[in-house]
Amino acid sequence: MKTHRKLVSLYLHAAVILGLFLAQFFLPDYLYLAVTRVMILSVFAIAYNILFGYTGLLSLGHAMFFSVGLYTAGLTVYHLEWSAAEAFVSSIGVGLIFSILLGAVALRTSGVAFMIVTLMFSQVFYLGTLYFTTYTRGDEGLVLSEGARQFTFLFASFDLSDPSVRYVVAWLLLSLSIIFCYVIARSRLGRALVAIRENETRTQMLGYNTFMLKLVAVIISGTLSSISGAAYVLLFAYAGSSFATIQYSIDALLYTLLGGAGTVLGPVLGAFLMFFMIDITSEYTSAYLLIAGIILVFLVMYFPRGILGEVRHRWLQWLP
Amino acid sequence: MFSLQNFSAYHGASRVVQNIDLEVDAGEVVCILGRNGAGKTSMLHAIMNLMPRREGTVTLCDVDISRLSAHDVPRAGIGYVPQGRRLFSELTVEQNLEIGLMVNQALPDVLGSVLELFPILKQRLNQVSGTLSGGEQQMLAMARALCIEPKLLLLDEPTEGLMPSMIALIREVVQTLKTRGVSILLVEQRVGAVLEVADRVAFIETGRLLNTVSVSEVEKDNEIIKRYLGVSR
Repeated sequence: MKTHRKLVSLYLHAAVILGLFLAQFFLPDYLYLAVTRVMILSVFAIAYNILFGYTGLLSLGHAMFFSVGLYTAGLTVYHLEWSAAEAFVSSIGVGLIFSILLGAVALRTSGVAFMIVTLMFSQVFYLGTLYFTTYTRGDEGLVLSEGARQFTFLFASFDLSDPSVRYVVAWLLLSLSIIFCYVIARSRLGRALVAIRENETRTQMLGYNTFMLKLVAVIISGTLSSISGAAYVLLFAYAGSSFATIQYSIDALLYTLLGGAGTVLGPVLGAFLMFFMIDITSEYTSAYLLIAGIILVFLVMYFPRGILGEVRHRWLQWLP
Repeated sequence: MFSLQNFSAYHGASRVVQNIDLEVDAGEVVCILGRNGAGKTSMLHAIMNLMPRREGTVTLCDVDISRLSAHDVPRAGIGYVPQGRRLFSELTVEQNLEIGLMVNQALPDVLGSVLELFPILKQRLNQVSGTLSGGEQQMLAMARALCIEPKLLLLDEPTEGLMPSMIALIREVVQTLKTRGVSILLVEQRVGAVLEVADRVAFIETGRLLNTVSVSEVEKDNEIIKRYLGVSR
C-alpha cells in the first residue's frame, strides 16, 4: 500500500514535469513567455517553501537572496563580461555565502524577530542597490545584451535570448527544483525540518541540533533563491532594484500560501495561479489588485492550508 | 547510574531548582512528588538542559553530562516524555516514530521492540497523531522517547487525564521497562499510582529536595505523605 502510494506520488510529480515540457509545443507566443517567467518564479517559490513550508520559518528577506543571484549574474556579465555560465556559477557561490551569513545571524532569533531581522537584511541590500548606482544603475537597472547571453555547453552553442532555449532552460531548472524538493521532503532531513516546524523544543528533546538543521534549511532555501534570481536575469536580460523590494518576498510567501505550504507542488501551483489571476484581471480593470485580493481572501477562507495543502489534508495524506 | 549533585537551575534570576542531590540506579523507578509549582517539571527541564542556566553536576553511567547542549542530552541516553505529550500532531504515528528512530540511526529492531510494548500503535501507524485518543497519544509520546533507547526515561505526569484502563497499561509498560533495566524518573500526582510502580519517592518543595524515602516506608507510615504534601493517601 505504502509503495503503491509512493509510486502514485512519483507519477504525479513526473506528470507535472512532463506536462510543462509538452506545453511549449501548444502555447501561443504570449503565454510561452509568461510560462517561462512563471517557471523561474516557481523555482523561487519552491526555495521559499523549503524554509517556510517545511521548516516553519517565515522570512521577509527572500527578495535579498533572489536579488543576490540576480545582481551577481547581472553585474558580472554587464561589467566584467563574464560568460553566462560563469556568472551563473558565481551567483550560486555568492548566494551560498549570503545564506550562511544571514542564517548565522537571523537564526539567533525566532518568530516575529526572525521575520524582522530577515526584512532588515533585505532592506539593507535593497538600499545598497540604490546607493551603488554607478554599478547597479538603481531603479533603471541593467539590461544585458544579446551577445552576453550566449554560451557553449558540451560543444553546442546556446542563445538565451531565443524563446525556445529560454523555455527549456526554465523548465529544466524547475524540474530539477521539483525533484530536489521531492527528495528533501522524503528524506530524513525533510522529516526533521517538519518536526522543527511542528515543535522545535520537542525536536531538540529528541536529540536534534535544531539550530544546525534550520541553518541548513536557510542555506538550501537562500541558495536556490539566488539560483532563480540568476536564471531570471540571464533569461530575461534585466536586473533592477525593484526585485530587491519586500514585494518580492511577499510574492514568494503568497505563492506558497496559496498553493499549499509544505507541499512540493503547492508553490508551483500558487505561482501560476497568482501570476495568471493578476494577468487576466488586469485585462479588464485597472483595479485588478483589488479583485485579486478578494479572490485571495476567498481562497484563504475555503482553503486555509492552501490548495494542495487542503487536498492533502482532506483526501491525499500521502502527498509530499 | 544517574546522579544529580548540588544541582540548581534558574528561570531568569530566580532559582527554581535548588541544590538537589539525587541518585537513580539502573532499573530503578524514582518518583518525584510535590505540590503544584514545587519545581518538578522545572527539574526535568533542567536535566534536559532546556533552561538557560544550570549549576551542579549531572552524571549518567559515570559520564559527566552537565556541559552537554540540549540536543546532545537525549543522544547521551536520556529520554523525555513531557507533560501534555507534545506530539508532532500533523504527522502520522509512523512519521512520529521515524523522527525518534532517526536519531538512533534507525536500528530496525528498535521499532519492533517499541511496538511490542504498545501493540495498539501498530494498528494506527498511518493515522495522523493529532487524531489519536489521549491514551494513545501518551503511548506514542512514550514510544517515540523509547526509540532513542534511553538509559534513563523522564516521565512527566504520564497518566494525567487518562482513563483507568490506559493508566493500567502505562503502569504495565513502566514495569516492563524496569525489568529491561531502564531507569525512570517519574513525576506524578496520583500517589496510589506511584506506590504501585516506584521504588523510591523523592519529595520536593520550592525547588528543594526535602527527603527521599523507599516506597515500603511510605506504605508503612501514612503520615509521610501528609507531612510533605499536606494530603492523606
